[in-house]
Amino acid sequence: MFFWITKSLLNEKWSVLTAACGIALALLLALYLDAVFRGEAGQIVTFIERTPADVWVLQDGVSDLHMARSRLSENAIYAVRKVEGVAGVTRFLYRDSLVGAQGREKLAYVVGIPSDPKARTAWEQATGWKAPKHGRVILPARLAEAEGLKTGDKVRVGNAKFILSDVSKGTYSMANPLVFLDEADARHLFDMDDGANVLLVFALPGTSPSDLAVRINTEVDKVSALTSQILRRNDFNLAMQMGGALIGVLEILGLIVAGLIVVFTAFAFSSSHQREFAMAKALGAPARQITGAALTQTATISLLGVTIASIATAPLQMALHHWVPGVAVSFSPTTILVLGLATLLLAILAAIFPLRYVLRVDPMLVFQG
Amino acid sequence: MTTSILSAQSVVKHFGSGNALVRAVDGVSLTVERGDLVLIKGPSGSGKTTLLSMLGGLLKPTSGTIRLLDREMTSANESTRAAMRAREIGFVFQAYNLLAALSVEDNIVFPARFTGQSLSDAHARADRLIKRLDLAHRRDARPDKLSGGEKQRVAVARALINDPPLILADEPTGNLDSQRGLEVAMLLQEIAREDQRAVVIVTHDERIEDIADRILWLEDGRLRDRKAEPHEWARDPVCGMRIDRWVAASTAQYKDEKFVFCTERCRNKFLATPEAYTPAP
Repeated sequence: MFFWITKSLLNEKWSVLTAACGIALALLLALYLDAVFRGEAGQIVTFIERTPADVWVLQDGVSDLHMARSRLSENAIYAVRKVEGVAGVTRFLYRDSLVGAQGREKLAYVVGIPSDPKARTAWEQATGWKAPKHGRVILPARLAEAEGLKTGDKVRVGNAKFILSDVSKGTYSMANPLVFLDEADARHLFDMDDGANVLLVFALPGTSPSDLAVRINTEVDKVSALTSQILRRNDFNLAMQMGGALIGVLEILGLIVAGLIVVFTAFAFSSSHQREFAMAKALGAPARQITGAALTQTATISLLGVTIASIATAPLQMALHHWVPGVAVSFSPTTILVLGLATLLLAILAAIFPLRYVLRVDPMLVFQG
Repeated sequence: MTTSILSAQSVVKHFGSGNALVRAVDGVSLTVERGDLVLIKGPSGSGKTTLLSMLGGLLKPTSGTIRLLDREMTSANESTRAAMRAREIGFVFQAYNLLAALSVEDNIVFPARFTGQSLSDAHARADRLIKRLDLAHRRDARPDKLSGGEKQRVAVARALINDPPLILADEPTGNLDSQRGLEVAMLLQEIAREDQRAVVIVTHDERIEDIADRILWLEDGRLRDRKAEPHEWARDPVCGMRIDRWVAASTAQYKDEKFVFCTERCRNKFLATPEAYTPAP
């Protein structure tokens, strides 16, 4: 029966392929939203990934950079410097503000890059991004393009105007574009004479970042110290949670559509082969072989659909980068695997309906002339 | 040693109940022995296919017993009957029922997959059957490329692949022209005579009566052995055609006498003016 069902599916390869493409499309729709949020989340954490630090210190109760807008006092910064195992501390200003051409401003995160030449050079070398000089601003290339801004144009950041000196790459996300200012300009803009929003802490050789974070949290009041790894994870998860419910709904819808396609295709196949199933029964095919044949047809169509969806993600990602450059899209192999396995499981469950139909086919059909 | 392959005792099959009760088969008994070729004939709707389905274990009788190689088939469950069908019975159908996606050779081997036997042995047997039935040149062809006669020869080869002692054929010549029909009939006779298998054929085809050992007539669910009894010839009083009373489709009773007719047309003519067709007393 397995041999026959495989040959029959091959014999009807175009209808099988059409059904598999339908399943693939349903899965890709579900995967697409996940990929959009994953791509956004990936962009959001780029700043954390590239900026060199063993431990990040934020305000008390804050566990992600997205919320790191309130001020760390000079006393807190001093206390962090004194913690055993701390080799150095770099202050960063990090606040949200409206940025863009006059009348077309967009919410962005403004990063005040340290004015201290040593810290500034170290950051530039580690991140590959440039730090702007006094009175200048660096925007994400996609933001500048979207706003129609060129180098030398004036850009509004909050209530102040700066000259666009350069653009940066890898700093744009729909929710969190990063705009770089000199520290002094950022202090003036945010009216912060001292203190910082974020501290980058460097550990002495032999001190583990996680131990250092624990020590800072224990010894310094009203701060929250996190390793780079944990901060990255927190920000990534926060970004994904924003789309969590929507992603979940679309994944369920995708699975339901895929399941329905499997059921209808299997029904169509079974009914068009009703007489052949009847003949197999009449000739003595055991029920387990008939069951196996029905399961094989649904599993084959589903597996083909999942495979097409998996293969299609790579060219689709490239195409989306080209067509919609403003949206970061990143298909996750884990999500593809989980959704693929869920589809196969659903297909097996969905096979119950066509299987019941096949098992009820009357072998007496063979006598119809 | 008994040579009985198939025996049916007082087999009854009713469909429906109450006023809608249909007695499709009503107390049929028969025995088919090794080497026998038995034809079951009868008018349309007489229960031939129902009887064949029960003999093949596809349908359970309402009462009575059917034994295949001394094994009770009527009380067996579906999986046991399926196993018996796969191993002990070869089926040949009017509509061939070949699998469209498979080649001639794979169609022939198909039932061997239900018996758990080695596929290489099955292919070796298929090879011999292909040669015997003159299908070598069509070995890899799909059914849609075959003529009706070739399709039925493939169906016969498929019926023989598991070397069953019993072949059940339902109108095997029904879709074939006279030449191809005769070839298939001769093939079934050869299978009975040379292979010593029991062959039961349900047919309307008059042409294959000569090859049968027995012709059973099924009418109103009851069997009569027609070949054991002499033909009872009568003349259609309207057109004068000679008609066997066994197969006459139209009859009419007039003045205590039963008349037979070749067609309904003759019968209607007769009933309009019966005195015109009956001799004066």
